[in-house]
Amino acid sequence: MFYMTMNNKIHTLNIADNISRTAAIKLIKETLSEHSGVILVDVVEVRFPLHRDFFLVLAKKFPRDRLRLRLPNEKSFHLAESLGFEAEIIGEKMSFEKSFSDANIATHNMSMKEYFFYELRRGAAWLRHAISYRFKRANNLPHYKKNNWHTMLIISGLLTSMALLLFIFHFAISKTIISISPVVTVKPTTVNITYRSENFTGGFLDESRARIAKLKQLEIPTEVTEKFRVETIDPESVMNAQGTLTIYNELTTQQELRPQTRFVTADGIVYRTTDWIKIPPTRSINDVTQMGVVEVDVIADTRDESGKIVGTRGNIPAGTDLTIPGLKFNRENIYAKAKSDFVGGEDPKVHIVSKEELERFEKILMEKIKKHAREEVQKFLDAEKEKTGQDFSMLIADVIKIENVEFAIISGQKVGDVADHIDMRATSTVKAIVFDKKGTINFLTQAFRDNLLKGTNKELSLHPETLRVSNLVSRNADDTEIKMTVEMNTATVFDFENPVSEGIRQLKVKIAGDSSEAALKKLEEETQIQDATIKNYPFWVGNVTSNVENIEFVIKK
Amino acid sequence: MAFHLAHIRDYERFLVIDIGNYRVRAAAYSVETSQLKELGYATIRQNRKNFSQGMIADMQGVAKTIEQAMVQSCQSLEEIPQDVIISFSSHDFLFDTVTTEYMRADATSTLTMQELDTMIKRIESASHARVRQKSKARFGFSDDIRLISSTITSITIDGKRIVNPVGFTGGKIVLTVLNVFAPSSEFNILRSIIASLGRKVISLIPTPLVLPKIIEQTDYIDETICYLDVGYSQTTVMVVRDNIIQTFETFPVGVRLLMEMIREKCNYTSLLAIENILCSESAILEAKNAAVLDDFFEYILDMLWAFLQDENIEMTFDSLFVHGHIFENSTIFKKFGSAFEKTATYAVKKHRLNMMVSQDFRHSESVTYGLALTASELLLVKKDPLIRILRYVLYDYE
Repeated sequence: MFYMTMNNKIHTLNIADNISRTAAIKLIKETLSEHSGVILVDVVEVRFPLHRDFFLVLAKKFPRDRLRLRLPNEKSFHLAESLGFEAEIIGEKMSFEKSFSDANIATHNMSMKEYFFYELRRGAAWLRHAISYRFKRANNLPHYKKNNWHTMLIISGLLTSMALLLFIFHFAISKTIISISPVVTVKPTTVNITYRSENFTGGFLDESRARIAKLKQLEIPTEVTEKFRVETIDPESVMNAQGTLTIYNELTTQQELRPQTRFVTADGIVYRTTDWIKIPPTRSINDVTQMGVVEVDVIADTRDESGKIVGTRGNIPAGTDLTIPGLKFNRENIYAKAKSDFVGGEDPKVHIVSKEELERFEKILMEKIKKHAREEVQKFLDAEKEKTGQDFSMLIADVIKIENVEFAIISGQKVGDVADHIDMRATSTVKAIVFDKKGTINFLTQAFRDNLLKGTNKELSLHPETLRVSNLVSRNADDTEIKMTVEMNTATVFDFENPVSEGIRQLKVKIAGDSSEAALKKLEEETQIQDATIKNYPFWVGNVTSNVENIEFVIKK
Repeated sequence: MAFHLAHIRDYERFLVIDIGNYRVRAAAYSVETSQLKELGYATIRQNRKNFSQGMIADMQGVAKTIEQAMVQSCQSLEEIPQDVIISFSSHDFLFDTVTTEYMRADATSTLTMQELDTMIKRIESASHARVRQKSKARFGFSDDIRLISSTITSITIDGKRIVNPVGFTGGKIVLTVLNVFAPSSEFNILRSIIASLGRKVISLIPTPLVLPKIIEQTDYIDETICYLDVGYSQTTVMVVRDNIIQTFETFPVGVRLLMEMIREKCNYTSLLAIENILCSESAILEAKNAAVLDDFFEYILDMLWAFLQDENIEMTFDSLFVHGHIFENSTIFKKFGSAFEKTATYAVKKHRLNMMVSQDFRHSESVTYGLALTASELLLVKKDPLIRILRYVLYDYE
């Protein structure tokens, strides 16, 4: 209810919250009668209103100088003061003292130690209270302005504008660009083209349905020259080696060799006799076997068994073994040895132009002409292309003929002349059939594009370098008209960039609104797509835009 | 805004509304040939939630109660009058009595209302500043206050006190005006309520100023009178001498305190039971009830005398006029009269204010009658400037 504390000579009377004003007045009256001195009446917690009427009654009933009022707020403080009362407002310290002393009562019989701890607790509690009080006081009440509705209107207008802008931005600006690497389909485009010679004025410019292209018959004179090395040897110039052979006969019968019998070394060098040779048999005299031996002079052949010139190789050393290849039997029992070193063999020094060799040279020249003819034709075609812009080409292999070939030794020798080298020239007329390549490619391109499924497939690239003839349909005798089936590789992709394609639209609808990962997954399932990347604008948008119109497919370059 | 004669509207029928914390009283009147005639009356109880600690808490609730009272009071009429005069109660009224004197340029010319208008206007701002100071001294801050009414309480022309100065000539004019101020917030609340009624407001009259109006036509007009209006949550004390308001104040304490005291002391739980005690001449005399009543009276009287002392009012009252529903219980009226005399230490004539209401009227509600008188006088002022305009100069509120 109430309680009193004593502080020096001031009695404090705390009026509790459940006391009415008339009861409070009675209490004050009682207290004043019981105690002399000043009474501090604490009405901080009272629930009845502290208006002027209450203070007037106090002023009427009690001497002002004996009352001191502790009040909760400034208004009541000023009211009391205006009526002559001494008053104080409960402040921070008072509020603390009140709450602390409610919870911690100091008794009169406290020991020093107890009182010391009491004061310590009070100090700590005061610090906590002071800090929390500061923070409480720091809270500012929001200030509601008189014309707040203007501010609210502006704010709501701004918010609405922002929302509208975001809405428009999302639907109008938000975009998804999907870069696609499409599956590339390469297949040959085939057309039948009739090539006609220059007399025919058709070609790719002709508007008729038949594909007729130009064909040209070229005659190009060609000439090739070559320097040859003469290898034919003048047999008169070679010196053959001579020497003496010892022939051995291990047989017991006499052997007879006719003239020109060959004696061959292990290297294949051949020596010949000039006369008949009789080789005595092997005898046994007084139990001593005597081999039949005879000596004979031989001369080396000009060429050995492999055809090589012998020359100095014929100068074999003494003791070289030779065999007689002409013997059908007993070749191992009849043999020869070089008695002494052979001499006289010399390499040939003189070459002469032979007919055979000349024929050989002509053949070589012919081959050269043939090879040169293709190059000449191509050179001619390149020059023509540069000059006239016409692009002709030899599309098939057997379009070149070589006629009127003539050979001549331009270094002046003739057959039989001595010479180490001769210069020869071959002249001819190269006849070639060439075809309009440009027209051919145009026909093929046209055919490819005509057959292209617009809206679905899209031309990616043409490959003129793959132009080829797949079939020779017909060819007339004089090659003035040749009909062929030609081919060229072309690459197509699915036309993802066609905005009106229903297929594309369906695909866009399929992925609209999906997350980028889900959309990628769906795209990869499409057979026409090799891989894809998705980019959303603005960058913070994680999903594919819901607006199908703002989804764009772009083919990766 | 200063008063102008042109502000007074022309009306014949009007409504009077007395907004109390406990009841709303409405009455319809007409002024015919300068005679006030009552056309209808009604009283409707306020919902408890409409007021909190004596202040309007539910504007819509109060407006609804007023409308009910208006409709009920005009039951017999073909239509509800458009013009309304309304009472204004507040326990934060601050008043200021200003006296100004001036010399007229032409002492021979007759005094006009326009001239008085101009003088009242001049002193308005000075009065406002003084009241703000008073508010600061009393409450520690000066609230946003608004002038509610100005009343010419005294006019002297060349030293001679005049009741109605219009038409008089003279050089030196001494004019005393009583300005009543109230917090703007309270005024705005009432203005919002009035706006919702859809009527033309003749004026807002501070309720205390209505009290002396009632006895103006009686012999008590020249006495020193103490008025005490004990309402449900407010009590007004007013001192009038020689028909001049000396001082007044409204305190936020009323019968509600008595009822709470009875409930506490006697452990009653039903307010109806307590009301019945207050209405019963015998029940109130029961010991415990009587003791509580005595305590209440003691409180009121202590408050009253302290107020008078604070205002330096040292006078002997000739009459005590009391007003309030509580005093309709004659036992309570008698007990209070005795207590008053005991504290005053002298005898006074004790009257109930509603007994001063003319017998021509079906009801005896003093405030509504006083408001009706005010409204009729105002109308007569417009029509005939010679009629006494002393005491009330009313403002047109927009």
